[in-house]
Amino acid sequence: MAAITRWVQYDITASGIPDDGRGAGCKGTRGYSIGTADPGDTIDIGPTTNRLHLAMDGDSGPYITLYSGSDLDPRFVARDITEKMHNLAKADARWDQAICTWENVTITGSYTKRNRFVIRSGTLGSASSVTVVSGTNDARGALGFITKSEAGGVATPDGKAAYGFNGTVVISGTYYGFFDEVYKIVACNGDDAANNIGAAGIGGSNTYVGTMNTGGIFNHTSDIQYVIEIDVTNGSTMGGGTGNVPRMRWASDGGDGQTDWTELLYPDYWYKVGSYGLMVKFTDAVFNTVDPAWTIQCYKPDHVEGSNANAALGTAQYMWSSDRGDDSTSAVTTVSGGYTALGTRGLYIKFDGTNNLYAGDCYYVICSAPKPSSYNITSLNYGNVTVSTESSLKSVMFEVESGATQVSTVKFGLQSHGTFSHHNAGNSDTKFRFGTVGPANNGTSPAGVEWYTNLTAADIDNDVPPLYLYATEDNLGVVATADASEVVGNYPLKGMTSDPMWLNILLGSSETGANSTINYRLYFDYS
Amino acid sequence: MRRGWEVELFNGVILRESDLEWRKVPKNQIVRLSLFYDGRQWDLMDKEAYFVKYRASVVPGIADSFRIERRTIGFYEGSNKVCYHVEEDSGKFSMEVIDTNGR
Repeated sequence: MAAITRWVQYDITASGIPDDGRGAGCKGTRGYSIGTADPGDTIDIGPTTNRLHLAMDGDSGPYITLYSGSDLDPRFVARDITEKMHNLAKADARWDQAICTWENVTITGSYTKRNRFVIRSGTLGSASSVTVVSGTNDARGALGFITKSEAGGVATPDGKAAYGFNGTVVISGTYYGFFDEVYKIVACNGDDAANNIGAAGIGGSNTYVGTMNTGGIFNHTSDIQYVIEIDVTNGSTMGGGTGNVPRMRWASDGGDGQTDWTELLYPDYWYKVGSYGLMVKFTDAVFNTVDPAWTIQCYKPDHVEGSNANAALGTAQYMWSSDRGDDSTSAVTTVSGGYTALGTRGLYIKFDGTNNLYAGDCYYVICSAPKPSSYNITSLNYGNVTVSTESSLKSVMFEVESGATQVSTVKFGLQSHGTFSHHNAGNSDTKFRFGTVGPANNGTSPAGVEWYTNLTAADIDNDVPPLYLYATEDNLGVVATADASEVVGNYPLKGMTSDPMWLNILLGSSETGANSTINYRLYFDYS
Repeated sequence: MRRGWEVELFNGVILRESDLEWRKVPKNQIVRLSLFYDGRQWDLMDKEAYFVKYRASVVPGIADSFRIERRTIGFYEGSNKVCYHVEEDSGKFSMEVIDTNGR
């Protein structure tokens, strides 16, 4: 079966944008709309079902027109919705930072598969809301929004009555992420466990031999123990399609247990457990029916410094996590009046207030991704290039939109150098440059860099990459196999995407090939 | 000549690659998973769990350039995935054991 793919181009000047929730100072939560009708795990969108009519914080659309196709991957569709909301050119964070995700949402009721589309406003606090409404050529049926669960944002997250700290959080720095991402910051020193999440204890009858990772940051007014149960009635491995995969549910002594099942559709994909920040993901391996499968103790954040429940800026500490798994491993000490790190992708925050920071005070930073400039591109035009000079850089991303559930082993190579006659000829050669970094293969500075704005030819003209790239090749050779091609990362959280690649050409001083039609070829494994 | 995977279910029903996507196969009912290549056949049976994978390639932006490079069937064995690869252009067979924990 063929996988349907597309290429997406980015302006090299594109940049991610962090925001505090539309002037909310990072305080409060986002309003949301969850489509609660089961849309399956493949989505069909056509000319009569491609309009999503939305209101964000009471501000009506216009509608967004979704990407059309058959059996579209829901992660792909969620990112398409997100990008279309950002492309409305509202210049308003409620739209520009709005995010649609495909996730196992926590809602009351009886559901047997749980994974759903969720649209969240870019606004934090009680003014935040999302409403999916009916309209012409309505996409609600295709997306599962015929029935829905909607709620506005609240002023204080995680069940707390009020913030102890009287100020706000101010954001600085550059977001070097490639996809949308939401950071959660909790005032705490993690003295019970990093991010207040204890080590997962595996049940004695659990035969799973893969790796289960916990993630997120727990924040609640009491400790909670979660006991995860696995069922393999429908299938014992992930990636098998809805109805054919393992399922998970959990018990909680904090009242946020789930008695119906979440399908584990994809390996290495974050699933939420409970309502207070715990996430889990699993590598690809065989599950068995077992209860308890894992037991995870989560801790109320009691202290912000030593054994103090509150402390002044300068001594008070915080920890952080992102919904894509960018998690702190140790507490960060605040600096009074100064900025300290948030995440690994270039962001900094400052607590701006006049009293102490209190354990459990919680804040969010909403990051929007660099915007694509073109979809379904069919060629890269380097323009007119003078001999002995470098062309401009082009940045592209590859993705599978349907026909698969997993992608791996992505490779990129030069298939033909067209009519160029001085490529690897040993005489003032023409060179085909390549560089990559991304969500799967980060650079090293910043440690979690996934995208870097305004790269130049000098960044990829050497086989030793700069710190903000993962890999570079100063001159791709013509190759015919995957093994001979360049490694490119792939990422399962926002679709089946490759890491972005940057390409350009140096025309050799003797080059005579004009209007050369060069071909690249990308290799990938999928299932 | 036939290429691609074929599944036999416990109830005797035969499912083929040409008829449906692997994701639609009821994974808990597989009694046999086979891979065909122009008269050659590889069979897997009595395994805990099975998988199918493809290697493909595509020229950026040219949908018609999509081609299958390799077909794979396989099964899980402890922390390993045991892969039976068959190259699409040559029919060459190879076997690979992948540690899913990266060891």
